[in-house]
Amino acid sequence: MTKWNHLFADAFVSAEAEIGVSVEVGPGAVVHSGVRLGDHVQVGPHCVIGQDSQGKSDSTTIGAGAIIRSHSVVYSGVVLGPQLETGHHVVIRDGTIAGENLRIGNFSDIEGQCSIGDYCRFHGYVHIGRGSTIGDFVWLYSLVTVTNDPLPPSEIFEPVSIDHGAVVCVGATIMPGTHIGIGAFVCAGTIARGEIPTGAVVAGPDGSVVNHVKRLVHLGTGLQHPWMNHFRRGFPEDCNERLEALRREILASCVEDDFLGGRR
Amino acid sequence: MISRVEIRELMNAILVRQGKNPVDDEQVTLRDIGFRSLDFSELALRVEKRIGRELIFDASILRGITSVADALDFFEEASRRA
Repeated sequence: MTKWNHLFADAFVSAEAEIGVSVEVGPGAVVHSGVRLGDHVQVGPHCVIGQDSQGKSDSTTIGAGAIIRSHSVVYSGVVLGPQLETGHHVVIRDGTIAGENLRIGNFSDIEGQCSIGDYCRFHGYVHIGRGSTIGDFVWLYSLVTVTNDPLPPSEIFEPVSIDHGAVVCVGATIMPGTHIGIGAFVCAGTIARGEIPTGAVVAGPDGSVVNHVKRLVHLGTGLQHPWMNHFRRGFPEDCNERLEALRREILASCVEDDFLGGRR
Repeated sequence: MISRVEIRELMNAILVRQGKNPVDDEQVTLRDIGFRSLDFSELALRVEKRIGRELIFDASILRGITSVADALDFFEEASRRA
């Protein structure tokens, strides 16, 4: 049976856009030429997909099953994998590429040329600087800022990289050029910089390494990090092997000497 | 092995570094003295350093830790088993 697309009368959908089956484009939304919307994509009211950037217009791909909520803007040259889900007022700039099942909270801003892996979870009001590289299963909580200019304003460009399974808690600032290792945990409000080892816990305004995630516990519940010990909600079952491999890699990491005295 | 007194000294060192008062009453709750989960993790690290072995955490015991005495009991027992 044919599934019809539901394009609101006052949505503007370019004749040069490729639209999959069962796609919804809400009122006031704009889908530019060169955009490919996969099957079952939902574009909310007043979204703009394929927005030109500095006069350049590359193709933009939104994978199947994506839900893009109202007032979000996706620039041209962006490639987003299947099962994307955004909140409202999200901006994703030119040339950013993301894997499957990325979730981005309201008012978040992902600058251009970023590379983002699978199953990442970004909460609201996150800012990710241009050129950042983010692995799979990375958590960025509200108000996290990922920078890239060590002497603003300047043309110096030192993008951040965040490895698989890392967790960055609310309000943390990731300074230019920082590398966050696999499964590392950046505490709330931390100013992180430099090289953060696999499985490290960093805290405070100097981004000190204070512990290893395997010792992070919640006394009321007995939950213990790494987080994939106790949390897999929202991840499909076929992620289990990847998560288990990641968990083992984090637990096997041994950077104890870096933690001597609790400070780097 | 590490004694209960030594574990309490390590706990107090963490509290004092944060400008908090050292604790001598084991019946007070960790919440009351401002000993947070991150501090608990740091204490675990310091105990491991002292005994030279890794502690094994038991979730069922962790769930029941509310007071200073509970925490000291936990680390005494965990270091014995390590």
